[in-house]
Amino acid sequence: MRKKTRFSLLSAVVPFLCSCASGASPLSESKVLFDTLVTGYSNSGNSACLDEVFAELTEWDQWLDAFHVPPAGVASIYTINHTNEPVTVSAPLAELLFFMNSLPSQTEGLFNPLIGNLTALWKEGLAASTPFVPEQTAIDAAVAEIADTEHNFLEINGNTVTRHGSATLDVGAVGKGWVLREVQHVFDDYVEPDYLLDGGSSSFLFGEYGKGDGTYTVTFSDLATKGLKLQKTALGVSSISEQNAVINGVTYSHLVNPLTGSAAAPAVMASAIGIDAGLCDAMSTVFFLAGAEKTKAIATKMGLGYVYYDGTSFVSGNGAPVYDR
Amino acid sequence: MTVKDFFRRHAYDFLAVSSVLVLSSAALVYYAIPKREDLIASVFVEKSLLATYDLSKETTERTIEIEGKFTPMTLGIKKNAIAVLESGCKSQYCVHQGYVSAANHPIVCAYNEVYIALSGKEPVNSVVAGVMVL
Amino acid sequence: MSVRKMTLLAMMMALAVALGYAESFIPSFWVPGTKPGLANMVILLCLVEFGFFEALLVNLGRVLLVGALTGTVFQMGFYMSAAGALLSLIIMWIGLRYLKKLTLYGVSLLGALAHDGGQLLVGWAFLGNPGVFYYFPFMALISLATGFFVAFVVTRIVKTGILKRILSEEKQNPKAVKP
Repeated sequence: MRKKTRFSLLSAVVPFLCSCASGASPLSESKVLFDTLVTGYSNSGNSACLDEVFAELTEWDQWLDAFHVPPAGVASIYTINHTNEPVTVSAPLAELLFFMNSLPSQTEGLFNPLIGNLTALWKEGLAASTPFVPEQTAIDAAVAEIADTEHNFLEINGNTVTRHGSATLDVGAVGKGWVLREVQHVFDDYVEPDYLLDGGSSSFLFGEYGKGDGTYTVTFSDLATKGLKLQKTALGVSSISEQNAVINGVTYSHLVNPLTGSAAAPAVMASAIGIDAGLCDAMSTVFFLAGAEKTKAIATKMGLGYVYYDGTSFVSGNGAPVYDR
Repeated sequence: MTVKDFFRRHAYDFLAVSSVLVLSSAALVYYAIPKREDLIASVFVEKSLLATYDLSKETTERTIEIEGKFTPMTLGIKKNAIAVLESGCKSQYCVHQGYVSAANHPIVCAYNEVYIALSGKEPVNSVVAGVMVL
Repeated sequence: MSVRKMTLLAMMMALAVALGYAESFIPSFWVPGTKPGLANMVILLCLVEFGFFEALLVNLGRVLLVGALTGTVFQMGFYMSAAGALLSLIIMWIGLRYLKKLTLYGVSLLGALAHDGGQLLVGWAFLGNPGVFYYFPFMALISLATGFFVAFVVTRIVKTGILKRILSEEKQNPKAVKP
């Protein structure tokens, strides 16, 4: 082909190339699930991957709902809390409940799945238009109920769950994190390394960021001086900024101590870092209630990184990748 | 003139036509491929940036009034889409485009010198922990 | 320039203005600014029959007068039209002079594409964003049709040789001149 023709053709191509300048764009999807906003980010713009993640999350939302009658054929936390008869649940839900049942012994009782009546009591008080502290007698009764493990316990046989006694289930302290753990496989199946799952700003799952050093930056709403740089890991955060009320100078949070029945916040923020998002979510609650020393002990035993801030002092350890802001 | 002579005479014309046809069609096919992406709309008036909207965060459809160079305009915004709903220009090209939801597909009102650029968002690599969003 | 030629050019300009003005009432396709390019028939005819300078005069005159008639002088649309017209003329002249393998159809197509390119370049300059070239593939496809149409008409007129005859220095026998 002659030079002139080649040149003419090449010049003609340029405007077309200008018009097509575009690559894969990041994509996010958000949905209100588990009474909070869950957002998934796929930085490579994989919509099919995100669709599947949210389809699974939506299914879990039905299973973990404690406040509404589930659709026909679905056995949820609501179902279990409204009967003492055996309930056949899905295998994944049974696995979660089994995990929750194993935690009280590993956390010196600071985590208890049958805390439902106690948290409901505090929720009623703290969420009122004029927040109030529940009656101490009611709190004591709820604590006694939890402590009476002879009559109040969860029996799990395969996929059959039987709630004995009057204490009710509350999966709020572990549900979001567990669900993120369960959907993590979708990103692996789609070979999507660059992702971020944000479960209501308190449970997170991080892939590997596609630029720079591959880490995602986490900052805290309660702490202006520190942050975390994370990749290929999970993070559970418990903090007073999620829900709190100040009554007579005392800050109360949504995190209730099952041993004492108190919702007075002993800390401002506590975080757990590890591979298992469910464990991190549960342990962040435990760390929040346990205090700095116990946090270190439990975190070390569990092989988790930790961050603890009580308003004056900040501690971290077990490899938590903290940086100064 | 025989058919062969005709094609020989117009060979380079056909080459030009086919090049345009192939390249344009390829571009249009590329445009037509549906892509879900988070979009940011930047509204420019007379080359100055007037406003930026994160369309991925829009939950309901809403309208926004802006001042073009000569007449006011009404923009419609919804999740990952933007449109010019009303304009005082004569040609109304901008209005006829309807809602646009593809990155790099601009909406232009030449009369009012309004340019709406749609771009994909930057990858997310940071979060704030501890704030309940609902 | 002879009086005869000047008169002819003036008539060509008037025709181009009339066609350009009439075109302004035809609604564009979805892509902004796409028109049948009726006035470009006159410009291409001038370029073929007279040369670059004459075509440039007619072209610029047409752009100014159509702009005045439609009330768009010195607005963005006017500059887009002017740039498109100028670039189109230059490219068609290059095509006629140097790309001998192309017939009028190819030259007309190049002119149409150049017209689109010129408009978008001015659009870029005014709006400050090269994203306007998003429209180029649409305009290019439409240019295939408009370029063909323009070339078809001009080829027919050129074949009749009427302009050459009118310009001829010989005494014309009015009865012998075929319309």
